[in-house]
Amino acid sequence: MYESVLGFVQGAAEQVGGGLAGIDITIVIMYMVGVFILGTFFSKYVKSAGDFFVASRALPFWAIGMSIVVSDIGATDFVAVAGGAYTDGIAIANFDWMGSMPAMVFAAFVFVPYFWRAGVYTIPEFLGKRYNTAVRVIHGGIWGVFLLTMLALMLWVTGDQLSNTILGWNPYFVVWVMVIVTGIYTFSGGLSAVVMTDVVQLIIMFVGGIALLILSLWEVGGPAELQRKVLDLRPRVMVTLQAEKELPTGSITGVIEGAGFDVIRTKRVPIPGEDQSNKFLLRLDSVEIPATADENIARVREKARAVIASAMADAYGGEDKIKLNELVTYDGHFELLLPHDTDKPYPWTGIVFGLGIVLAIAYMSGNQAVVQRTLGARSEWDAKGGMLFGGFLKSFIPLMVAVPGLCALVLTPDLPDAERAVPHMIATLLPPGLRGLMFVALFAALMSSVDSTLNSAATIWTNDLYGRFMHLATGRNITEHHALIVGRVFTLIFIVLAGVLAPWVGRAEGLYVFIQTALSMFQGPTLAILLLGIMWPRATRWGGLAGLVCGVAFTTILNNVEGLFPSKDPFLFVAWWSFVFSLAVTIIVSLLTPREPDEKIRGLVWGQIMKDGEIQRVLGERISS
Amino acid sequence: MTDLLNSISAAINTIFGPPLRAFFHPIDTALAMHYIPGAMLIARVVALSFFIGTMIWVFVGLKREYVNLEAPSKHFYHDLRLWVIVSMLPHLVVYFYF
Repeated sequence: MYESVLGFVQGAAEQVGGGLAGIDITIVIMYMVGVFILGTFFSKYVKSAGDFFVASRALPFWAIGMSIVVSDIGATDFVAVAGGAYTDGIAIANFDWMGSMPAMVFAAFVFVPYFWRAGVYTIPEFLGKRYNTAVRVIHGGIWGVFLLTMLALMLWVTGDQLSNTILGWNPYFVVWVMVIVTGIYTFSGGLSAVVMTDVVQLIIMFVGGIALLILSLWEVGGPAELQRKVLDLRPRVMVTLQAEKELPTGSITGVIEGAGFDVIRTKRVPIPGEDQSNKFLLRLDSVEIPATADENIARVREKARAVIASAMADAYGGEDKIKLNELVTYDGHFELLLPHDTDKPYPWTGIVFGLGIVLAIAYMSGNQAVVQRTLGARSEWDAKGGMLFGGFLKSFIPLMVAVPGLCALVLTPDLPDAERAVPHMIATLLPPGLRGLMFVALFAALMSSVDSTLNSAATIWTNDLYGRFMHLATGRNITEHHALIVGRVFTLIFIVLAGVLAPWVGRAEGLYVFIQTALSMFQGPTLAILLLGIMWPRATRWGGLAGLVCGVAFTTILNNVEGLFPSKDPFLFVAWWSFVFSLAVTIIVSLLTPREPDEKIRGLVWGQIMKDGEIQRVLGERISS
Repeated sequence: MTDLLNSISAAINTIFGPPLRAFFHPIDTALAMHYIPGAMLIARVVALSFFIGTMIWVFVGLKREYVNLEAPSKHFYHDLRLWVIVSMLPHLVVYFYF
């Protein structure tokens, strides 16, 4: 019996061109079936919109915490964070440390109790009540479109980059298996199914991640050896030359050596699908990078870049023909805090102010997927505890993801694409069985993000777009039963639509970048008006509107003016300054316009909700009803 | 469409570039702290203060009853203030050493 099943599995693996052994395929199939059964099991508990959207308010803290973490970490993070560690070092871990724990503590004790007591389901709902309906619909519309696009993209990235590139599997096959499995259990079980499958998926993700961490460190020789070997690596430079004929490798080496640098290794880098006849990866011996009191590492590195570029231009005729794509050094690979004017994308000022204060709080407090889990808690204590437990678990993510990326740097220092670091480690280090488990961990990371995004998108579209539309059209709010049906219909439509759009969105790189940019433009200004709306009773609708509009305009300007900040990708600085600017505009305009009537902001300001006994009683009755 | 976007971007750069650079460059120079020996020590202190400040806020700025409202019991392991300490200590260690 077992042999016939194994034979079928191996046959299936060969049929899809798989690179996994039979035992690996068996593990993947068992995981898919198990998650499907577990998810659909919860359908019997879904009788109303409250059951579907907020899990009947019965979730314990441990399930909330685990669900928040696994929803936040997708398969793409596994790949991208490891790639970031490979290129820029452990500074990438700031996103899970500085960018998580303080913001999650703040969310746990400010936003979570606020949403819990005010009975608000979504951020757009709050903005609508505090300011006006237009703000609610615009904000809800932007998030609704963004979540739908993200769904399609997540599906395609896994189908194409993970399954097709590494295993040779048909990406459409993988995308539609994901659509069917996650779609059915999210459709039938709602938030309960999403959170409980997330719990299982987190355990699998941690087991796979820790296995990869241990084997990677074992192969390198331990943490101390890892640090020594990375810091001993020679700087490397990627050079592209536009020449009509193919240039010999020795010619490039000669020019570099003529400029005063010793070349240890020269390697022609092949990239499939591109004409790479003149793209070289050089590992240098003696690029001078001594930091002095008045000349930091970034500036000296820039000097080295200029010397090489000049020598190459002299040799090959004109700077337009030569491009130094990157000059990577490894002196800062074990520094969490990099100088303000580093040429890497994570300067310490941007990390503390842009990430720690603005982007992290905006994400943990304004992301529907996070907020919705805390609203499903069985008590306010569980909601707060869930956030803290999630922050604690998130601390381990960089160990499982970034450290294997650093190990890959030691084991295979010349990967043409840093994002292949983790796939390469899985393929070369893990034995059959563990390899299947690691692939299941990647699938788990993807599916947990897909089901959470799907449920959140359905919530926003049902409550903030469809519900508002029906209220305007009929003058009545939709009933619980009506909301449940609509929520399920949206779930079904979105997952099928995401599957259909996945290849298109995945290939239309410009569209994704545009939507990401558009969303990031709103983060700082939205946090500013959200904070002032909750904390400051004097904030007015005109102040909020001016803060949002002027803040977005200011972000657009900062993104288009060159040379404002030292970093090549200054999104952290842009987030911080747009937040400060929106804060100032909202305060000034609010003070210049008439204050809002007391009855409008009643029950919406933090101080009232926390201290006013009468308002607490009214809100308590509203929630319990 | 691309040409239009590029034109808008160029116009924004021309109009707003000079005053914004005049505002931000002194700040960038000050934050680079080349004039301070051991400047990255300041960065480390600020980062550690961010975590320590958050812990102090929970302990001093918030009432114990508020933090632990609806807690299952009054046992120490249900005190969320302790959870904050336990969750943040590893971060302090990491930012202290790296």
